[in-house]
Amino acid sequence: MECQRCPVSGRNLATVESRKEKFCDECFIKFVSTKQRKQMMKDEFFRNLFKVLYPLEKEGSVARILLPLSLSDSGSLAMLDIVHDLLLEQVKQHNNHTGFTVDILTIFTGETVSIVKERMESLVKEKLLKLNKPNIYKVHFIDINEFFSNTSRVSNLIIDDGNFEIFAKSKSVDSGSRLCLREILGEYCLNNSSRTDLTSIIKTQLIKHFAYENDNDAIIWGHSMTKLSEVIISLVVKGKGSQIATFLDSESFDTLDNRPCNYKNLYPMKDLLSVEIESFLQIKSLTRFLINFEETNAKPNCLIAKKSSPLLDQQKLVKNMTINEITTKYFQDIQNDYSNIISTVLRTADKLTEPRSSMTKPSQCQICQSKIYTDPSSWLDRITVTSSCPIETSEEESAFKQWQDSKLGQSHTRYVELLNEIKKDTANNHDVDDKDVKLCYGCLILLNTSVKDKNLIWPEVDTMSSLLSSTKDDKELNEILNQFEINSDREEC
Amino acid sequence: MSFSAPSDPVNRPTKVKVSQLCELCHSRKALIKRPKNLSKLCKQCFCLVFETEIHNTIVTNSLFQRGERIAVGASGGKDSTVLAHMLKLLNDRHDYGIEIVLLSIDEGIVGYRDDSLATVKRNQQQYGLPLEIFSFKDLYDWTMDEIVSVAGIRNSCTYCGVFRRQSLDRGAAKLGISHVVTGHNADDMAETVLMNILRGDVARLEKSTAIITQSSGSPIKRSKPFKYSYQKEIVLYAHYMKLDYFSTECTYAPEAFRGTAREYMKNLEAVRPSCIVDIIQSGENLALKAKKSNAKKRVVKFVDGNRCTKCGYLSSNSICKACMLLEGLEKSRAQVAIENDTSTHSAALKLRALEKLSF
Repeated sequence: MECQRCPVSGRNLATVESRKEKFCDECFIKFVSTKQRKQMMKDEFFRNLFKVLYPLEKEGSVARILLPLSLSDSGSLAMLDIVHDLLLEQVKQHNNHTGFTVDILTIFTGETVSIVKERMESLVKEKLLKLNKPNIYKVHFIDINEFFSNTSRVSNLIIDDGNFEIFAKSKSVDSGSRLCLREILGEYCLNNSSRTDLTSIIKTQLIKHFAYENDNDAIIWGHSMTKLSEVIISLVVKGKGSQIATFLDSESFDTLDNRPCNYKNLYPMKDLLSVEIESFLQIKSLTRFLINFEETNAKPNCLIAKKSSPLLDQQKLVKNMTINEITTKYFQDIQNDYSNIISTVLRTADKLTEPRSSMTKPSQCQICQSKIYTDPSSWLDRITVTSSCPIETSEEESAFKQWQDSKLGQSHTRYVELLNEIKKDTANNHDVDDKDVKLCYGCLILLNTSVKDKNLIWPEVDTMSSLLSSTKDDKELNEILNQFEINSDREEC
Repeated sequence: MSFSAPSDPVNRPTKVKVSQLCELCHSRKALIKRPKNLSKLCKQCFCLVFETEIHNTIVTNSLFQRGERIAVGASGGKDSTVLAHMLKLLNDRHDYGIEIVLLSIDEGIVGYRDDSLATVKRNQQQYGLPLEIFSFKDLYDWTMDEIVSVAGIRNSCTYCGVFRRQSLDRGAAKLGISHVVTGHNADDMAETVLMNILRGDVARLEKSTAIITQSSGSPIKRSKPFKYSYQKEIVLYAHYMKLDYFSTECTYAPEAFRGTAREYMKNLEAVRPSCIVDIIQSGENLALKAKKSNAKKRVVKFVDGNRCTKCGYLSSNSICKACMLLEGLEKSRAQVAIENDTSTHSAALKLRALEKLSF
């Protein structure tokens, strides 16, 4: 089998088959890079960010790009590799000048800190240092567990199970009683899906706030076409369909906490399927930098020589899966029979815009900070009845009394007491108009169905920037990047 | 030795455990886990909640006007049977002031539709409602069995869907009724939202969750009072109310791709039961970007209220979809037919015949 992209005179052997076309390694790498670069040059704003502009700009005014790198996800690593190749070309072609600098941000959990730092170090030494130019890359780490520990004020959010209204009690957190994300997720979340959803919200929040504080010009996300389609369908399924347009928007500047930001979001890998990205990483031998690279090597890809088994564990019970996992499985299952589904979903979602808001004033979700277009509490209240059939007989009366005295009844009494306390607190708050608590429909459902006792502790929106004090630039890695030398004696920060 | 009466296992009062009590009234034994949110409910609370939710949907969306004549699309299946029962019950209870007529379409699927129509006829007696039946044969000179024998089973849903939709409108118009109520439930709605996104059906995306649909040129409007009612809850309600309905699935298999979406939703429900209304909420908030005008490109604009040049029915093109399908069918119709030929009868008839066999 010969590559269909090579010139007829000297065709190489094909190693990859994708989109009904056969490629050799070299042509496939070019194919992937071109697809990615096309997205990076999609409009004037991004062209100006990534190109070397003449006359050469003054120092400090070069575009600053934020690249969230997840070492357990192939998309962002493949993207970093292509961005790195672009920088190498720019250095070579423009007399040691580049159009932009890259802030690499990695979010880790307490348990994975050592392996994340080890892999990052080898990535820096084996890959990024080859740029041979200081101050282009800067590496940052955030421990996700510190999401709560650096916040000064939190809200205790609670849902009234009668009419789905949301109430919140604000309280300050002193340094002695610091909260831990892992404990909070463990204590409040009733299932794996809600835990994953909240973790994903936290990661996105941290990345966006970092971009805001760090004055970045763009965030480039590593989502492949497959991943984006999965996210779109997951958003629909979670009742967050109204957020699709904002999520995919790369034309407007982002907003955080109702403040305009100076950065735009971009998905440069959106024209590439996940199987293509997996194949790209394997051809370029980049999987070794991933944390779960044994698993990555077994992921579905489009290499001719290696046809692997589907990634998801077939034995896993549906009940134990998260919504995201079920969606991934659905796409994997139908991919063979309906191959164009993934691109169709993304193309359809790209045609969406923000819905018309029926809110009297602009509101944003206390948890995920997305815009709210319709009041979810009243919508849910309109379609759900929570009143009961009256008690009629003496037996029913005695059963009710028995329930009241039981643990279940007492637990309900505690919930009602907490709800009344928070309601009272809200009523006494003179700034109640300013502190009107709102959740988007998706987060309201999450709180109502998947969180214990329908209440959750969450940092207050206006204190979010304080979270970023937990950001640590990795001095050692950055010094290595800036000095071109490896100092292994230096301690990690 | 004194005599002691044996214990009476039937009439012995059973003590209900606290954990078995209904989560709403906390006084009666819970009999079902509500599919919508998995809360454990007793029969009384479930029925009250289910009926009130549908009443709320009708009132908040102003579905009915006093004095209006309503045609209930009745197939004899669970959705339409519960719908007819519910509308009669709520009309009596809340005095909507509407007149209800059952409107059935006979697609001509031997062994399936004839049996289900028998159920509708029984419903007519049970609820004391007038019934009108219109058939594909009378309206189009084709039965579904004949269509399948010509066009194959794969496209059966396309033909049936288009013809049934038009037949309901034509039937209602003949009866002088301008409002058709159908038993589409929340599961159907959610499935449609997902299918439209997965298939990229942009034209239908924004309207797919509308509770009332009406074209500007048509006198017939349609509404779906079960928009927020879970299919499983409709079945449970029918079971508790001991309603008489026909429960066999259509002989002609459902579309394969729709089957994948159904399976996906079933898996989602196992993890988050609220996902069906969550999808509807998403569907209600999907809005399309304004199309960029292209002066060079001549676009034939869709005008709401266009009429088919052949039959006069509403159509976005010069010829309506039904006439287009009929044209294709006529070309394939056999010129010569065998007298009393039953080969076009569906598999349902054979199945029914087999069911009746006994030793």
